[in-house]
Amino acid sequence: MKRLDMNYEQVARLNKRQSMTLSVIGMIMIALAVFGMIVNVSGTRQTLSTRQALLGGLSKQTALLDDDKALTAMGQDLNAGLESIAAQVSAAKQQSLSNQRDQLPEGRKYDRLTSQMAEYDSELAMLGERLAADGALENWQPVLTEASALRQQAKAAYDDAAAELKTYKSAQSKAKKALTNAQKKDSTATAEEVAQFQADYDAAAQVYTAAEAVKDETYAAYTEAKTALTALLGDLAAALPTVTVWESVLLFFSAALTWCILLVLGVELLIIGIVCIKAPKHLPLSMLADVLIYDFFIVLASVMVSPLLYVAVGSFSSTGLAQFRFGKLDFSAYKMIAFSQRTMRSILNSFLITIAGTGMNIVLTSVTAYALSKKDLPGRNWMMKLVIFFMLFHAGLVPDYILVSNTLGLTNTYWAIWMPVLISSSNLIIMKNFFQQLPASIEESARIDGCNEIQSFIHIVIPMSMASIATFSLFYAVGHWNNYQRAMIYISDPNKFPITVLLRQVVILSQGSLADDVLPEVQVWAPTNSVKYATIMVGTVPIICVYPFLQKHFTKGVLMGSVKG
Amino acid sequence: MIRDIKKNPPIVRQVSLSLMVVSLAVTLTALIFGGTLLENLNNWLLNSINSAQLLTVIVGVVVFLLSFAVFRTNEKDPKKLRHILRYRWLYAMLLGAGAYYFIFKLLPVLNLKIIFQNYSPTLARNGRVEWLDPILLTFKQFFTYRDFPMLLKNTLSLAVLNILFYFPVPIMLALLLNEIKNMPFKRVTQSVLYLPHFVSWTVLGSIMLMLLGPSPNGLINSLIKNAGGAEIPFMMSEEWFRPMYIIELIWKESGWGTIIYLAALSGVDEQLYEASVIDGAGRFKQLLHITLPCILPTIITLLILRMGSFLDSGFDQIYLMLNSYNRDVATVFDTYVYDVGLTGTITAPAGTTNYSYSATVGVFRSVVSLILVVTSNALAKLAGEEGVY
Repeated sequence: MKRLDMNYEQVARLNKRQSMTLSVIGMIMIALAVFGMIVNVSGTRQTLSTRQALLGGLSKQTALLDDDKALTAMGQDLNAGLESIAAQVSAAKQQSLSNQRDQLPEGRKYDRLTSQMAEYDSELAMLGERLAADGALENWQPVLTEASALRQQAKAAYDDAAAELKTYKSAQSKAKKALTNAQKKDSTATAEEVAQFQADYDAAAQVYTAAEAVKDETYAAYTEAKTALTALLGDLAAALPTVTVWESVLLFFSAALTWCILLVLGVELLIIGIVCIKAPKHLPLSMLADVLIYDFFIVLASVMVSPLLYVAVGSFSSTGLAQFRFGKLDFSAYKMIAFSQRTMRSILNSFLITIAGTGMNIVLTSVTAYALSKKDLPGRNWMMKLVIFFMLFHAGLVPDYILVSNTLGLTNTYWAIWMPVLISSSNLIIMKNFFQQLPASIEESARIDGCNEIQSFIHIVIPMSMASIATFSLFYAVGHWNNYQRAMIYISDPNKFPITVLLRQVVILSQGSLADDVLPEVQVWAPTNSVKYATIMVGTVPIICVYPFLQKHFTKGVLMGSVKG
Repeated sequence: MIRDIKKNPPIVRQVSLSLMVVSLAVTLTALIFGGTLLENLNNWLLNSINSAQLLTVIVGVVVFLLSFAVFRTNEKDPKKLRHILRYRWLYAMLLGAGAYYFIFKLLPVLNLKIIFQNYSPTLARNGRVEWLDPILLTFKQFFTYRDFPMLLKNTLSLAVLNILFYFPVPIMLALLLNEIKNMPFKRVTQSVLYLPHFVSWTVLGSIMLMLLGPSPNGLINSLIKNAGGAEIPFMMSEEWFRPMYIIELIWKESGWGTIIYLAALSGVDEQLYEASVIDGAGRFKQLLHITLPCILPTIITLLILRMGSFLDSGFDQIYLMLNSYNRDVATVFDTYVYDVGLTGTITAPAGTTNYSYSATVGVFRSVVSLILVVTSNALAKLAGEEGVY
């Protein structure tokens, strides 16, 4: 190789002109960042305030909808009452017709009905007033409230009228029928009877016409109100963005982040440049590279962790609007999960699968790796070749499936999840290499003391390789906790689902178009976003929690076996 | 201690050799033709591999291994058995793994005879599994079927994208991490980069839907829509499927992938750097002339291993990304085998069964992978590098 004539000092340090350029670049970047931030902040503040106002409106709307629900419930109660009254009325009418009484008792019943309706009307009016009072804050709010109340009243009135109409229609038809019957058998019927029926029929017809008029009137009002409300809601939907406060905060920060990075970089360059101008000999050029690398990793780590952070924050937000206020955590999603038997059960299943599976894996792998690490074992090379062959050549999904489900009959048991991955060939090879690196002298002295291989493995090798065992336990545990394919193929009993399978049901399949094989209860449940977030958290946090405990074992030395092999 | 090596007497060698041949023949016969030849013995058992067959196979394998050991042992007769017996505890420790490899690795490979049959569990239970007429009928059907070009194109493009855009990322990250000298910062960064690895593909798929899904639920699309733009169908279109595949892969595995390179980097001799500084090399030159050559064997090893799973696109990831919008680009060998063989949502061409047909697809995949590994390993050795085996 040709030797470089320049020495290291000259190559690695900045001269004065370079430092000047550097600090000018830094200053330009700072200026750009500050300008961008000002634009960004003012713009965002404006949009944020608009959104705040709109969101206030949205929560009002939710309150309105709640009232709407209450009104509907009341209307349903009333309808039921009306129907029972109608039944009573018709029964009474039948009675009266058969008894040929002069006086119709349904008149009294109708009075009772009207008083009940009046009561309800007053309640409606009260509600309407309250709604109107609530909605005075925004300029469009009174209109909306009014329209909504109007719609409610109109709807109730319409319902009432319809019910009334129904009653009288039936009364009318019955009367008509009775009249016809009476007219048919006029030989036995007295003229008095016929007159009575005629009067009855006329009264019913009168009421019917009146009710029809009321119905038409209220229907027109109702339609009008409904159109107005629909138009208003349309305006509102168009004006209201789908983002919530938390999301706009995130938006603000993600836009601001760009400017922040630019600013920090500019400041860094400026400082380096100035220092280099002052004392060109003290800062090597590689410091610039260092700064850039540190910056790169800070940004990368933030990007990597932000989706998880978003989910974590979202799981603590209140359900309906996914609004997030700092210092006000909402645990309702977690409460929902804690009370969902299915979720708790699948988490327990996942724990069982992971703990038992990892135990079996680690025992069998370490024992096998230890035996294979003895270089003088006859047949060892053949076994290693077989292991490598089976690491590289899989029979494929279908023969595996036939073996596990048809030949061994393990479907719907966790053995189907544990057994096919009892030993991972690559982990086995790495562990074997690790055991080979252990000093042989200790084991030899144990052998002289009369230990056989199993004893020396248990008493000497295992205590020496706890770090390695911890690392491979982590590998296996992550594999088991996150396993999806085998659970999906072999487990069809919902009571045995691990959390991964349930998660797919809750989050991905409930998303809409793909909902063929979702459990009916999940379909009914229709989980909100925060419940989805919380389920994700519950399915992720346990396995992440394992890592810090094993991290201290996770030293670079443990994996050296992998590099050499 | 040097033992003088003597061969067994010829009679022992001959007997053991013939035993080997006979036991091998019996074992293979029992395995492949067991269903028909041993039918009379085991009418009471209806599975494809039954007890009599299993017993024959196990006895055959044990006899084969013993006679093989006798054949290969070069010590004198009385010492020979003791030589093997000296390792009895180690062999005992290997029993579990032996059973595992036999049942869960070897048996499925031997059961691959179904690719030459019209196999299905029902037919097998009724004893009506037959050899196909042209024995390679399933292969012929597979290669001429209209799904084949699509599958090959989808799988290959994902594999190539993986090598081009995912494979170098952990290497670059590891090289950059190696430049960090502040240990607390390095440790925190590493932990954060490892974090996504602990997230399952189901969770990752869910998060991706939450962030990039269609607008009522997906954050980014809500923002875009709010800003007045048209929604971008990240998760539900053909053109976005491949970029999303690589992005998900990079997010989840690139940090974790640095581990092995960092382990290799920690083994680089510090003296090389000191010597290079004296020679006037800057940091970039050090990277180019010391660090990279030192981890090149690791890179090549991982590249060869990656070749072994070249056509393996990662079932969980693809399956969780699949939907009716991107089915035409997202169907790869893994999901195809699943759809044909296990769920039956895609049916095999006439004349064969779903089981045999999808097993053929699986075998094609495995064989291509094996060829790729062997070839790349040979190429690496040819180029003077250390191969995988």
